Amino acid sequence: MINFLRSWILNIVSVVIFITIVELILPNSSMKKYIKMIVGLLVMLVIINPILDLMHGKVKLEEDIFRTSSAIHKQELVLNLNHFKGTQQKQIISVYKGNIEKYIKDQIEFNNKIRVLSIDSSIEENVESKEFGNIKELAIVLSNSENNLSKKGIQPVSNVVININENRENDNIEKNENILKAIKEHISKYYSLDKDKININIQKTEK
Amino acid sequence: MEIFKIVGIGIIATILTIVLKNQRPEISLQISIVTGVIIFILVVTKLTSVLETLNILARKVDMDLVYITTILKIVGIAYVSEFGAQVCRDAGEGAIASKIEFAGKILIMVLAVPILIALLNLIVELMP
Repeated sequence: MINFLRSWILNIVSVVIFITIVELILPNSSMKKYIKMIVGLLVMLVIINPILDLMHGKVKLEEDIFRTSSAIHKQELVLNLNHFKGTQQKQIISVYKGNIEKYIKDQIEFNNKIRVLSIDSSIEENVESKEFGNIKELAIVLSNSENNLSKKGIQPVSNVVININENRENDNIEKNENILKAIKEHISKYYSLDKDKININIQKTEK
Repeated sequence: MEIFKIVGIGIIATILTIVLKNQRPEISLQISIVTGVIIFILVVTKLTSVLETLNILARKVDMDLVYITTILKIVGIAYVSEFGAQVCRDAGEGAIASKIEFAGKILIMVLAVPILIALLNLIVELMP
């Protein structure tokens, strides 16, 4: 009994001394009352704990505190994780989109010798969906100005020959139609995309 | 002596800030921030040794270590947030300073919740 009393009193006294020292080095501000409240809780714990020991046997208080704080940490971690997952997925999707657009652009330019001004794609972004990653829609803007990309460097002047002929205009349109058809065919074959979902425009910046 | 160093730094910085305050207020603000950081660092090393001693003392009298670490963490949070808030207040940004203090309070409360719950459990068990 004497032993128990001794350890109890020693504990209380040491906690109180400790807390006094800590309060000395505290910054004197609005924080002080919060800290005082928590310190008061601690003193209460220290005083009550041995009584419970006496009544119920050893109680693992530390374990209790640890469990609660680890639960809080876990919750925090889960929240953070969800957030990170979302951001990561968005980044992955945007990189994927960029790659697809670049690839399509390269393909069109290589196959049809036409310049691609911009490609805008929308992609199935729902992870649960079976078609995750498939292209939903595709909008391509082609440039008409330098139709023959490969020849541009070789003969820059000969393009400016007389252009009054109506026939030629028709010819041009027909040629464009053919190119559009070819591009659509090609893309829909490669990406299993419906032809109606591919939207190609030719921008006329000739003059 | 450490205190002469710190007071010297403080006085020099004060004179500099007063001289510069009218011409270049932004530079005087930077000087005050840097001085605060330097003094803080100089004192933090001393504080570490004090805390270490307290820790050893606590282990000697067989106090629960959870309490010690919690209290020390709380004191640390209070100090750092106080420092940040004061720097902001010096620059005339009272709103940001109060936000920093608010964040510090919340973090302290997060640390306090486990103790609160443990105490509650204890009291509930104590009831017949």
